[in-house]
Amino acid sequence: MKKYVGQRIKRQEDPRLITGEGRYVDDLEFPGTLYLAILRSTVPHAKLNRVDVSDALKINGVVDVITGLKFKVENRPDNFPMASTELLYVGQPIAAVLSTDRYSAYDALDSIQVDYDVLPSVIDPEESLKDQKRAIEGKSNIAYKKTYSSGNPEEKISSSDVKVEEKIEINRVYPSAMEPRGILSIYQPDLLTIYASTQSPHYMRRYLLDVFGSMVKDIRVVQADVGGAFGSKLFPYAEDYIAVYSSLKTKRPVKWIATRSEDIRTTYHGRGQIHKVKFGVNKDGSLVGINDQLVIDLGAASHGTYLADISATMLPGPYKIKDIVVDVYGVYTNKTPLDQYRGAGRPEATFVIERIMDIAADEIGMDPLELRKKNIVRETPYINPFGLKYDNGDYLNLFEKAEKAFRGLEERESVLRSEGRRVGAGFSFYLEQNNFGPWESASVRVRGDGKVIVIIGASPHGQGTATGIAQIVADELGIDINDVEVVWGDTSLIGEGYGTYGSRSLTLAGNAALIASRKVKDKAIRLAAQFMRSDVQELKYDDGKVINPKSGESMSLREIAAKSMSTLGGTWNYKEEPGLEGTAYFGLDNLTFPYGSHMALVEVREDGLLNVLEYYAIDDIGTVVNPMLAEGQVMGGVLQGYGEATSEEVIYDKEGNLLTGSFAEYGILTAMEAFNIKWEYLEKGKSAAPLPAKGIGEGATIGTPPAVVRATEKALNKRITRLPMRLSSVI
Amino acid sequence: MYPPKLGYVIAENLEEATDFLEKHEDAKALAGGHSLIPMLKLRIIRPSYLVDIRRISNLHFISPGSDEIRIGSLSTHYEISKANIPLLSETATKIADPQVRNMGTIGGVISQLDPSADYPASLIAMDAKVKVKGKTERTVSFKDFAKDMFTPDLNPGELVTEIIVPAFKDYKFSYQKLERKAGDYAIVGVAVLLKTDGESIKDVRIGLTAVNNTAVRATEAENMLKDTRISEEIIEKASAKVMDYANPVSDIRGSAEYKKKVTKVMAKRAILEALKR
Ligand SMILES: Cc1cc2nc3c(=O)[nH]c(=O)nc-3n(C[C@@H](O)[C@H](O)[C@H](O)COP(=O)(O)OP(=O)(O)OC[C@H]3O[C@@H](n4cnc5c(N)ncnc54)[C@H](O)[C@@H]3O)c2cc1C
Ligand SMILES: Cc1cc2nc3c(=O)[nH]c(=O)nc-3n(C[C@H](O)[C@H](O)[C@H](O)COP(=O)(O)OP(=O)(O)OC[C@H]3O[C@@H](n4cnc5c(N)ncnc54)[C@H](O)[C@@H]3O)c2cc1C
Repeated sequence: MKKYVGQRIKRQEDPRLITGEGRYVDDLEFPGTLYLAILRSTVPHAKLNRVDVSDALKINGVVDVITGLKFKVENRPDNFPMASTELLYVGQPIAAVLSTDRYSAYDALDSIQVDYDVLPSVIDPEESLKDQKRAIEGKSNIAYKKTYSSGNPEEKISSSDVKVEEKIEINRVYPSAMEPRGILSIYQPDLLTIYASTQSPHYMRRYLLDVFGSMVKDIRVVQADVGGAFGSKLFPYAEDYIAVYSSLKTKRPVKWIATRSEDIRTTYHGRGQIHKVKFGVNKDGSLVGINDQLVIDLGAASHGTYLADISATMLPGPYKIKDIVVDVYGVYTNKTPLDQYRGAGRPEATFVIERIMDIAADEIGMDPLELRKKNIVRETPYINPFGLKYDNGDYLNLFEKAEKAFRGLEERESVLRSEGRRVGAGFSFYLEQNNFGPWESASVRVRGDGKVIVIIGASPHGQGTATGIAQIVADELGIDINDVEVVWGDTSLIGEGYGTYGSRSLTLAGNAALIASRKVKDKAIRLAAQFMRSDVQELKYDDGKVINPKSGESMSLREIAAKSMSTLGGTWNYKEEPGLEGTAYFGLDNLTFPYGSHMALVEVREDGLLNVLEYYAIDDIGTVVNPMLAEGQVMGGVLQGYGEATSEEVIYDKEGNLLTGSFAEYGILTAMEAFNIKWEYLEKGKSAAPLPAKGIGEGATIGTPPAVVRATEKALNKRITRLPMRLSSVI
Repeated sequence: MYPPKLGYVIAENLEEATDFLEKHEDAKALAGGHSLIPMLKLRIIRPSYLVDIRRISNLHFISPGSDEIRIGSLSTHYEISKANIPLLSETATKIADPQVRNMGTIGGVISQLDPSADYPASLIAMDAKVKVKGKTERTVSFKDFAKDMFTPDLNPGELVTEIIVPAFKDYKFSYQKLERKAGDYAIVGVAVLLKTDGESIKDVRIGLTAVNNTAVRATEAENMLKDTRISEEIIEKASAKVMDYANPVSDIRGSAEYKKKVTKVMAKRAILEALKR
């Protein structure tokens, strides 16, 4: 019986957080803590000659100054976590001061002398691709090169009716979590305990042990409350290594909290791709071939290459294109390294393919929705040209529902345009790929008082996943949701786990919790058989109770739990092992592919700003466990995507100085720029999991930019191929 | 964002403050702190002392008179927004966000002289005067006081004590600010004061901020409107003229070309809004 799944249950996480009771890393205090301040490069590229810390060491309060720290970590620069020979970007750590308070720590930074010789810097990724000036001395700028190819696009394009070439740019954004990054590392002999603002404590533990395994037996990582991450807090950073090293070296607690200025300079930026596309379309609307040169602006390290792989393989989107080639180039630049940001590769792919759809329609004079319909995948499962298996769903069905809504927007568009207003309606269809694995863990444990604790290996940080999982477990066990408590984010709670990223937690951790609950039910039956002196075969679990249909006898889960605990100091006289616990690990053998459509009606005002008059989105994410949680993800994602389309952009000058180094410059939007969003969902495309959900964490950041850009393009009657649009240069 | 070490002095009265500031040339007066503290935290400035002037009660007043209104330099943006001063109260409502308006002061704004600050457009349009006190007291026009961006006409040991604006009794007015997003500094700000007689314009003043080093008046545009009958055509022409007074620089808030274009848009909006009053 499903009492909770499918309901708009309020988030259990909220009361504490919205009454100021959250405990973020910087709220945690330990006696004797040293504060870490980091001296950072102020130049984009230089040869580092000498770092003199002697004056800094004289400052009152300063305990130690660390320079030249160097660890081998996969895909990170040679100069990691600190520059020892070469400065590679503005913000790169050079030295670290440990002091008894933050003020003297930052004061001491002023006394460190750095001797360096400026080198030419490489800022523009297309310049970098020419490989003339080097971003990293002695290394080719081309860090990564891969070709994804299927069919014969060259031939198909050359024989097509209309050939188009465009350069599509997706600029860098700063993930802008409300809470900057931070870490507190507490030393005990043999054990470090780390409190971190992270998306994955288990991952962090493994990463750190790789480097510090010879210095400490274990590292326990606890995820404090996290004030947003959006992908940026998945992998440990240079500062995390420096903080951990510092606390091992000094044998004291060490805390590092980024200031906003530091966070903007050093938290991995997102997006940063340029696509030079050539494509061919026939008069009947069929898209016959795509040739894409994808340049990803990796910054000064190579860990972001997988994002280009995702973009390349997802480029075909929900369309039947067979002849396609994507040449991927990952290039170094003297900028902050690039990594994932909500959507991670799929927003880029979707922006490009949706731009192609609209542009193709404009070029042949066809309605862009008709053109999409002409090309849309009509049967699932479907193997795309690069081998991705689109699992299931009825794209056309959702498309047609979306189309109905869109035709309504178009009517309003033409009324408003006839009044002389610059209004446009824009449409996007997206296919998402999520539930990045490989698996997730959960343990369901019934306490003696009948309360149930659920430990998950995922580590949500604002999404409300615990509420969704409580719904699933309460339904499965047939108990009150208030008796279920979901906990997470501590490597000592559960053996292994991955974390929260890639719209995976509810499906993977939720199904692990479901399976673990089933194990608990089995165990409850076996214990009840002992307590009720029945045969296991005679009993069944129903609605929170184990019942014997023949005798009518029953025991609730709570009674079974209580009975298992009855006498302290007594003996255990039953033929069943005590304990009511189940642990399960759940993985899917394919990623999941939810899909949806976004549409916007926008007006370009005379002053160059946008008004969103209407916004509508419809998604199919399989079973929707809690429509309110899902809707919250969509609303946040739409506004985030809108920011990316209109105003968010990390800007460097030609020399590599960061021009958007604070929120006074970086164009993060506010609640005042928000607009109403109408959202609906379908549940046709179910995943292969026992609870057939997919995920909605990132869908809206994927669907929004192409819809907003198309709407603006129509309002202005000018082709737009850039994110953000920089309207001030197009009006 | 941790400021360097500095001394902190609380001044009980004006003399104490000016004396101390004169003796310590690298000390800085602290009013609302909403320009000063961010610069300290970014370590852009390193004063020896902060001299807190917020307790000097005789700098904290707004006194309306029949001809002119005297505004103590410590008046906050919030207080000014509630004081029913033509043009200036409306301008105050458009500065930043409530937190900044509760703390920031008009004396701080004109001593800081950020080229994108809002008040200067209105103050220049109003022919405001600034009273300055150090060893002696003097009164200068705001136009002369604002020598260049970030460069007020203040000698060591001098403080702004009050700002004096004419009452502009029968004037209509509007301040129009274009911002990328709520709480941001202006891309351009246009202040307009108008006196009409039936269908004709008797007097007009147009001030611009954020598109020059300091605020300017668009005098030729004013002349085009003065003593004419209100018409769409003349408003359009005058707004286009206002654009000639904008010499913006390209930055993250937009290209110079864009800023010029929207100066016209905002000028027109300000004139039309003023006329609606
Ligand atoms: C790597 C990464 C990190 C992110 N960091 C943050 C962050 O810091 N803060 C933030 O708010 N967002 C963040 N996001 C944004 C957002 O994408 C998701 O919140 C994130 O993907 C969460 O992953 P998840 O596994 O919980 O997603 P999902 O499993 O998709 O869950 C997201 C939310 O939607 C609900 N939901 C999902 N599927 C269903 C369903 N079928 N029925 C009902 N409800 C459903 C879940 O219960 C949960 O509340 C991040 C995105 C990325 C790519
Ligand atoms: C987030 C944010 C957004 C903002 N947005 C805007 C905006 O949109 N528009 C706008 O106009 N402003 C904006 N500001 C600036 C704000 O209005 C400040 O309050 C103002 O610039 C300075 O006033 P203050 O009282 O805070 O001065 P302080 O910061 O205390 O001082 C500024 C300078 O003036 C000097 N000073 C102060 N008072 C006197 C005096 N009486 N005599 C002589 N010198 C003095 C100080 O020594 C210092 O050099 C913003 C500020 C912030 C933090």
